[in-house]
Amino acid sequence: MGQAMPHGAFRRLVDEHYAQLYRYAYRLCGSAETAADLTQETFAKAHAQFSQLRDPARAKPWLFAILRNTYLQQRRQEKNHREVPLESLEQPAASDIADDPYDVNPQRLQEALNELPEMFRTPLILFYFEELSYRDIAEQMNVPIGTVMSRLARAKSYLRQRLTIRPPSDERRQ
Amino acid sequence: MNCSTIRSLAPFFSRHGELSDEDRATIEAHLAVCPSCQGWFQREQEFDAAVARVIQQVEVPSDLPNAIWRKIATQSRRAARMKVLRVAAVASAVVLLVALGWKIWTSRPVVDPVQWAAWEDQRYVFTYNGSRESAVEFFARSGVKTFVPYDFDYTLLTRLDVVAVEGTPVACLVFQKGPNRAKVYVLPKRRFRVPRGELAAATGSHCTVEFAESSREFVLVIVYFGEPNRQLFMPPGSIG
Repeated sequence: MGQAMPHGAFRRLVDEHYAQLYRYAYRLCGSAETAADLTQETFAKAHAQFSQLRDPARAKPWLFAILRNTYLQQRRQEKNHREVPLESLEQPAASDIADDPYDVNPQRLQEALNELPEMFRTPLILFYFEELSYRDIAEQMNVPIGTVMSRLARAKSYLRQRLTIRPPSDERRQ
Repeated sequence: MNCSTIRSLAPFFSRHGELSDEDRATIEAHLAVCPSCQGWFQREQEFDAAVARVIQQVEVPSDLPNAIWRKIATQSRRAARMKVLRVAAVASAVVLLVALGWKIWTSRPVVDPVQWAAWEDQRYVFTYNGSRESAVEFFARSGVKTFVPYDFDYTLLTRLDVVAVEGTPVACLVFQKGPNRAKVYVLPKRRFRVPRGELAAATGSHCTVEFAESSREFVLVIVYFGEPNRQLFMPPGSIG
């Protein structure tokens, strides 16, 4: 803490952003417990570095960036994180397409997110959360906006395939 | 714009503020005349809406704000403790350095004019009344355990001194006869290694150095200025 803590300002920061940060953390890691830890750790770091936040209007991307970096740090320490390369997914056969492709199953959605490499998962989550602009996402990931868009397109394509293929339980019923 | 370009802009089109009014108008104009893109856009929007609806459905734990504040409080206490420890460590290092400096500064030998005068007086008295006994008494008072050789003419004694040779206090006697002078250092063998057998000698540009056995424990280093002849400094009538 480089300076005296503006307690009220930081309290507002927590009140305004904790819920959405938790949702982002949950979708990133797929675990309620880890998401709560990540959110707490994010605010603890933000509290310690609050003097570095020059523009309060940029608090949201700042917090999202801290959370993502914290998540990446923790994940580097894990050895057994499972991700699949996007190329490994085959195109679904026509008969495998679910009757209502837009009836998204929450569990299958999280499974699909967990399988995505982080570089694709983050822009996808942030796109659907509509919390950050594309410029903010690009800055946070330290890549050009065009790269964000191409990753988003590939991630959406993967997600569409994972969510529209009929799950094995459906096949057994028929 | 062609269909491919129009479709690549879909993510921007779906979000307010990401596209200029001009580009938005161009896309809308294209969709109005392109049923294929119109259908594609509609499917994209339906899919995105379905995913967005589910992806944001995450139940937030009700006690999360309290957990956040507890975490911040714990971290703040830890940071404060670390700060105190850092300050204490720096302060300890400074105190230690100051104490060490002070110790070194105050441990320098005290130069006392009264002591100095007494010492000079003592040396003057002993050399003026030159005798072997006076030399023995001088070195005893000076606290130097040494041996005072017998075979010198102590009426020629002009100076007694204690000098440091390689850090060891050593007795030094100076004899003068006319233009010839002999400085005699008495080295304890337990502190210095000396050549065995025939003792070494060397001649410099101004002096000649000679080692001489004196006793079982001491060896003499005699430095001659002038004629390097020990006989000159022996008592009259003695045989070298």
